[in-house]
Amino acid sequence: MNTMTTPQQEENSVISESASLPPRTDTGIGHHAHADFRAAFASVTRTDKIRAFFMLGAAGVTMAVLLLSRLIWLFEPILDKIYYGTLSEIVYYIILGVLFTGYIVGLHFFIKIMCGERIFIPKKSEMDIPRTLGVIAVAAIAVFFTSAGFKFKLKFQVEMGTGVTMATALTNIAVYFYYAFHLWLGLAAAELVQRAMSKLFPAKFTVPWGAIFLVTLYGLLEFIFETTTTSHLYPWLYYLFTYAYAAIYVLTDNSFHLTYWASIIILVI
Amino acid sequence: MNEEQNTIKEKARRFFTKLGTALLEFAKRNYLMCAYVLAAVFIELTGIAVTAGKFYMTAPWIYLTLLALVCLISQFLPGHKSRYAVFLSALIINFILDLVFIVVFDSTGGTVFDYAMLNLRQDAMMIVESLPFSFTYIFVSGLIIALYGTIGFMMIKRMPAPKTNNSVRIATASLLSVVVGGNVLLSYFSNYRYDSNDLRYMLYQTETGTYSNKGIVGNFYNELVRGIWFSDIDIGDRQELHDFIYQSQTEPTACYGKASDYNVITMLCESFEWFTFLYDAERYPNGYARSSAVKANNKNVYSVTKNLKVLFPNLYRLYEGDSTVVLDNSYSLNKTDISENESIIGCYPLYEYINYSYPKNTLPFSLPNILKNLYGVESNSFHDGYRTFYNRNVHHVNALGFNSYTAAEDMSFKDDDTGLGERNLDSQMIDSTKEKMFPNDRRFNTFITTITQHGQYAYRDNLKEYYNKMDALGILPYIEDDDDANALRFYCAAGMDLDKAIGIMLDYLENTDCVDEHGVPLLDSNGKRIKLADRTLLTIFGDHNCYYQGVSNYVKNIYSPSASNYTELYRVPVMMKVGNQKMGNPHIKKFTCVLDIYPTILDLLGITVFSNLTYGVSAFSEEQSILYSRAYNKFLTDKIYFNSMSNLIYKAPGVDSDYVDYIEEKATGLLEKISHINRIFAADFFKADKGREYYNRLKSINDDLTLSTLRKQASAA
Repeated sequence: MNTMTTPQQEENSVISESASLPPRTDTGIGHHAHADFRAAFASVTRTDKIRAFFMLGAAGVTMAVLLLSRLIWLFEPILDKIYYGTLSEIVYYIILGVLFTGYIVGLHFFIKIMCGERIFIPKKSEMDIPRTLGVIAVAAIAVFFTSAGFKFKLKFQVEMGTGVTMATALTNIAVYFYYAFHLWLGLAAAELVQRAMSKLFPAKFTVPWGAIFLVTLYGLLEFIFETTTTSHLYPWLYYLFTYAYAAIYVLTDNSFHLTYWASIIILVI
Repeated sequence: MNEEQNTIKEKARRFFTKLGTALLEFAKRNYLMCAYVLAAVFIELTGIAVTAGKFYMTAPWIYLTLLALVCLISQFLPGHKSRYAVFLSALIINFILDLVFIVVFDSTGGTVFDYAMLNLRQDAMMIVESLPFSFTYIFVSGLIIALYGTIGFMMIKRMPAPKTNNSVRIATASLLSVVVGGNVLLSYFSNYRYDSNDLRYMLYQTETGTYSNKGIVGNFYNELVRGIWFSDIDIGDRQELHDFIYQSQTEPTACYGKASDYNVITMLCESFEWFTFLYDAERYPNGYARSSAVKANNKNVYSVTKNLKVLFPNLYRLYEGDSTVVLDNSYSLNKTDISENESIIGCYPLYEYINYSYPKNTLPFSLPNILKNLYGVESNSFHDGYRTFYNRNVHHVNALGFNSYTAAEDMSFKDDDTGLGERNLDSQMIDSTKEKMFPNDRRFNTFITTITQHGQYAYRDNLKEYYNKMDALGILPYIEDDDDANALRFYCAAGMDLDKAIGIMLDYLENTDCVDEHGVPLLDSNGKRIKLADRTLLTIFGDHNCYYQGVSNYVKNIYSPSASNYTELYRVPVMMKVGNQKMGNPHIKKFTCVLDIYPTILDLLGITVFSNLTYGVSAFSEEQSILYSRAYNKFLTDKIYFNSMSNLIYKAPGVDSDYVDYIEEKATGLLEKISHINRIFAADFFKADKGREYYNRLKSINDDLTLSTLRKQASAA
């Protein structure tokens, strides 16, 4: 009697095993059974592993795009020719917007074709009230303590400055779009990491891979590059915000859109 | 007996149980509506708290009818989803409206919205450099909306569907008609006392001139109603108006005619305060006093004053000049356009902003028109801000009677290059335009409105030389993370440019000969050449306190009417240089205000006018005026601050009932004048013949020999 099982049979047995368990919410995708990570990894089919590695690769490329986009500043002399340099920063942000939108569209189709997943489609499952209150609390705490640090002025008021010229005001506003674009790609990468790692390690308790990625890789890299390559205010504060983004990502059960828009509120206010 | 009592108790218990169940059922089916009312009221009260400092409304009825309207309209909608959309939209609209009016309140030093302010919307956007958002309001309201938006939505499927049967619809329709009727009645009763012919009722109104009466949204709604239906000004009895105008004349004072035949320069200095250049540790504890204490252990006052004289040589030259009369106890509580008009025409109507509402009226009593028609003097107005701001380009030439209005766009100096007119330099304006401003071959009347000290107060490239000078003397150094101190630094640096402008003007006046029409210098009785300065009455005054960024509050350490010296907040400089006459540098200590500038100038020029068109009195008179602020709806003297006799917001220590009675009488008299001025403006009373009659009568009283004798007597006295 052949006791060997094919990967497909193995996968089916895991699914049936998990289906018999009481439903539980984890921070990964689906409800898994394996308590041991090695067993969990071993249970993954080859196809899924390939898909997961594709997603991890895509996350890496996304981070690379995010970081390499800063090289566009090398074209500063050309940008400066537009409106005598006053608005070159805004032009840079417009280029970023176009570039990132194009990339995200490409990424969406790539993941759909190669991995069979649509990462930017909103989830249909509804959040429960405690988690919703948790998200609001995280956002409120972040806004409150940040404002308290600025003597109870809203952060954007401080960043916008007083007595600024119209061109400076426009540039300052554009910086928020810049952060929003960056967060967009960073969160997309986190989503890919979360899905890939959940796929690779379908353990009983899924680690919040995406949140960890946000705080460690995305947040730290952004902090280092913001500090060294830009004159933007408070890069350390934006790094601290990634903890809030990560908390929201976990609380929203890895919802890309809810996390993104809640984070944008924190980021701006 | 016990059984009977038990039965009653049982019935009552059943009744209340049934009622409780019914209420709970109602609350569940209408959970969105109940939560909406709570959320909206909380947002509104938060808005009131951050403006008026009170967490309640004394007359919330209009606001409540508006909430009821939203609730009742929602009852016609079929399910929770559509109601959710309506309630969330209503909450967001409430939030935005409150936010807008809180920003207006904070950025204008406490202005409560009134209908006529809609005329200023474009100008307001032109000067916005930063918006003072209230953290408390945005945080609390944002949290409420977030909770309503999320929890309200999530509960949609968990709550029983609302009842939408016919009986509910009929009841809702009936209630709706009651609420609409109530709203109309409330709107009427809020305004029914309005009487354009007699504004004295204002003195006994229950309104406090803050948002704690009707709330922010309620006030907005009421102002729209008032502006549309209760703002018509009835011209009334024309003969009575005519008689009132010519009823009395201004009284000559001891200084009457001291500057007769002089040129006139009136300089309205934007946000100009005494603490721009004066050290006064008692009055301005956070001004130069604080700076000097930080700098050098406060060695002595004289060193600070000495340094200030280096930084502001021309303001001191004027302040300490023998020919200068200093109105040491003068006040202003208005916006620039109103102060400007009050110094030119001596009055201002209620409810309207005349630059927009009456820009082409005939105003024969304006100083330019009086000088033009009595003496053929040419008047010109200059301002280094934008031409169309406050509609000055139309109003100054048409209504006020200036021969020309010259704005920044017409001057040959480099614009501030930022798109923000307030960054222009007053010194550049005077330097580039002085020949046109102060012609030496004819008598002139020149009005100048400065701009450099306009907020916001932040680093400006074109003031760098002044920062360097301050730093060299250790005056108001830049302090990291001290926004208030730095705002003062930037404000005072802008004041240094005003000083420079005044210096250029004084030098020019003192060095330029008066010449005749052939260019031949005029000589005085000693054969000495007459300089422009010898023949010019120069008035410099602050249009209002420095309310931008709360600089005035900070420097004076006055934040509320509970301060023992509250009215000090509105004390602003007025200095009048009477040619080169030996006046002895008098400092007038009696209460004066921006309304007194016009009659004082006329008094010095030796011109008598009809006093019922003049709210103020000459600074040299024994009489005292009272200031009514059209922008803030408040009465003010140095000792009292109120918006009605039933709401005396501030009384200085020592103010007794006699003084209050005296003020009530003065305020009543002022309101009577305002009622008539309202009618004069609304009807354009002086157009055509009436204007000519005014000039003839004016000429007649000024030519009157008897009066002339009186003048001489007064002058001799």
